[in-house]
This record gives sequence, C-alpha cells and structure tokens, in this order.
Amino acid sequence: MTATEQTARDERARVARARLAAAEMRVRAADQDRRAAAYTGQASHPIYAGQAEHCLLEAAQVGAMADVTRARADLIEAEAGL
Amino acid sequence: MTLTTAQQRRHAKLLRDRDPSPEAQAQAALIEARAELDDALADRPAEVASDARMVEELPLLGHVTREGGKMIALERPWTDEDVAATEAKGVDVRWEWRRDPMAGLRQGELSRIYIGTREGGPALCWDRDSRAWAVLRSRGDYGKNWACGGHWRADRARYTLTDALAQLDAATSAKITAALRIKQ
Repeated sequence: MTATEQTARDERARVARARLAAAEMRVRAADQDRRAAAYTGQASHPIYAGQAEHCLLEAAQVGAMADVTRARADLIEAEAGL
Repeated sequence: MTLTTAQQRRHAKLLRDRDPSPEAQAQAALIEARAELDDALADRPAEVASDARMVEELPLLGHVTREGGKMIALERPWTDEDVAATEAKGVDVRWEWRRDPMAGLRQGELSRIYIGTREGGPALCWDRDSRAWAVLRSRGDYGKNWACGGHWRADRARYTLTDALAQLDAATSAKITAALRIKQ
C-alpha cells in the first residue's frame, strides 16, 4: 500500500468515526425529543393536581437537552468537515 | 443472525423508507454510520445489498423473518384469537420487544417472553441472552398482570420449555401446556 493510499484510508476512517459519533448524538436527540413530546402530551390531560406543571417543566428540560445533544452532533460534523 | 455491512445499509434504507419519524431516520443513519466505519477499517467498498432478511427461530413463534426492523413472516403467528383463547384458559403470555434507540439492527427484536396463570401468577420466562427458559417464583402480588406482574424471583437454572414445565406444579404445568398446545 502506498503512502497516498494509506492516507486516503485513514481519512475515510476518520470521517466514518466522526459520522458515527454524530449519528449516535442525533439518535439520542431524537429520543429526547420523543420524551419531551410525551411529557407535553401528558400535561394536556393530567391525572393528579400539579401534574401538568410538572410535565411541562420536564418537557422543557428534556427539550433543552435535545437541543444541546443536536448542537454537539453539529459540532462533531463541523470539526470533521462533514 | 448477523448482517454484512452491505446488508446493514439495505436494512437502513428499508427502515428509512418505511418510517418517516425522526427517530427512525436517526436510527437508519446510525446503522449506516456503523456499517461505513466497519468498511473503512476493513478497507472495503461501500455497497448496498439487495436483501437484508434476518431469520431466527423463536419460542412459540417458530421461524421469524425480519427485514428493515419489521417482522415480515412468522411460521406460527400469535393472533388476537390466540390471546383470547389462552386468557380464557387462565394463561397469559407477554412479549417484551427491544425498544432501545441505540440498539441499531437489534431494535424490534424479541427480548423476553413471560408466561403466567391466573391462579399462580408469573411462572416461566424466556430470555434472548440465554435462549432458554427460567422458572419464576411469584410472591403472589401480581394483581391483574398474571404473566409478569408484582415481585418474583427467577431460578438460576435454565431449561428447554418442556423441562421448565416439568419444574412447575402439575396443575400449572398442565394448564400452560393445554393453553399453548405444547407438544410433549
């Protein structure tokens, strides 16, 4: 294998690692979005006093976590030049 | 039940086409990214196979074929009529499917089966890791969930279904055997 071929191979692996790390972040973000939506849905028909407020707070927190996770995925992709 | 990286890409494409939800799209991208990293490390070209079927033998269901995260063929489907018939005989069967966002290709696979009776509660459990049955000892607080509710303890020993049934008391064993139409 020539040095050029080795460089190309290393570069492909580097990009693949970054893409995998970003993809894992996006799966987590999608799951956090789903959880936030579930909390919001539960808030619309509370089954005990105060549950709506509690669920809306949880939805806001989990939604914010999803935004952070997505931003991390964007950062990984930007740093890898994807 | 492993797929080549080309089959994994096919699996991801089927999942992507079938389910437009953000979760499914992200999971498809994850499967593709894992396949691409494996190919990059092995210095293989990125190919897409024409088929990505996963076939396995599962208890009670027989040969099960999954493709793109969806079951497409079952040798012995467990129908609503089967559910009603077993419940009418005082036996409940619960199926636990893997719902882990990071599971990738394993998403949607059967991870556990619980069987219990109305009178005795949880009695048997099959799990994927051991691919064997364990006998459950219930504390009796299973409520309306006869198959897996309340507190119970699983014996360490692992059995075939026939051997596990033999560990139960005669009445429970006979009831489950009859309800599931298990050939002895």
